Amino acid sequence: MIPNQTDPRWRQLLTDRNKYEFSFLATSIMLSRVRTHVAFDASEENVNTRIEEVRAFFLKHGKNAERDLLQIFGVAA
Amino acid sequence: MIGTMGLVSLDEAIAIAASGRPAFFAGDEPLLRRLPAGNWIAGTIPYFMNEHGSEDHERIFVSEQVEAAHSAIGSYAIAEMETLLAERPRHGYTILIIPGLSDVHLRFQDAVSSAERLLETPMVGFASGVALADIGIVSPLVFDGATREGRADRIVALHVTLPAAREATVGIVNPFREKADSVKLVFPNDGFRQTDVLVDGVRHNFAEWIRTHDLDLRSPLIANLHGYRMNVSFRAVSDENHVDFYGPIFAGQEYELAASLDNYEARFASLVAEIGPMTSAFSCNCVVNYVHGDLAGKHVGYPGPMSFGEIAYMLLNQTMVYLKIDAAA
Repeated sequence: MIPNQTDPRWRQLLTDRNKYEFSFLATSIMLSRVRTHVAFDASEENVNTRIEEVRAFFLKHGKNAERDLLQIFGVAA
Repeated sequence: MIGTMGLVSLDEAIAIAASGRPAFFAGDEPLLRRLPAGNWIAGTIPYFMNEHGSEDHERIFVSEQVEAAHSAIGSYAIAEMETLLAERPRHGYTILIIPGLSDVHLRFQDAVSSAERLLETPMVGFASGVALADIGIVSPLVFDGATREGRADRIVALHVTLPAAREATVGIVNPFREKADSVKLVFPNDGFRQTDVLVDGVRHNFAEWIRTHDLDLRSPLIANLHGYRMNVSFRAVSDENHVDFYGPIFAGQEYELAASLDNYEARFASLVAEIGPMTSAFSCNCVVNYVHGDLAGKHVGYPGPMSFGEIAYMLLNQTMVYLKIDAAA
């Protein structure tokens, strides 16, 4: 189950400095891009937009990104 | 299901091109110019991985896209990247070929790195090339099967729609890993040429720093984007104290030095074994690996062209890229 967008772990994912080792290539690129966007604009509005973007990504690619979701949240799609 | 994927005679390549089945070709320019119009794209290059690595000026590499439910080819200027991305299928994948060593090659990374829709559809490809002795003399070209025209200023794309039950995923095999004790390198400017660098936060002239530390230039710099290791290969260190790369450096991105790689064959064999049997519709590897790994006559990875740049959404160096088609998840 992919967490709701109000889950604080989404914000943490976008703003902490943790390095992950994802197995689904698109997850790696997506998170790098989104973190760059947030680094340049950490406004509440932008962070919320990016959380929606990341969540939508996992909703679409959940099965392929299952191991990455486990790494981030400890849950699969 | 795998169609023809490997080096074939010119006659066989002509028959495949004439069949109308979607395919991409790679080979010497005079051979590609003899292909009849069809549903194909092509790029020049004479280096291949087949049953073993080789330079081949007599045969053409072909990969038929046999799982396609529908396909279309397109030709785009680099300024039309958004159009290219928008024309990718909703369910399927796109194969690109860009002309190596061209303005398109220089600008490709910029064009895709800010594109919001980049990850919506799997996208792979390669930069075309020429025999290493012909660099600067002959231009790498790309061809689209509709016009059969060779261009050094366009991107060609093969858009493949898959049946609902099938799904494409992009993967890379990067044989390099960061040195355990690597310094952290950050560059102040984007681009293929660099002068200054911050080494663990201290400013240096990069060419001087390389000479002082006797760096092994056969190994790339690596940016680790959460497991997606992007290599940037060294091209030359000039006496005028700048350093040229085969791919673009991104300002502000942290790079590390790669550990030297002694046995390319063994490294690729162990990494490819983790992926499993060959179900790839596309694969390419890097001509820099071909040269530094001395891969002529050796077998590494999947069949494909040894290119002047690899594309897995973005432009890579010294990396094998593949696209697999499996049952939809």
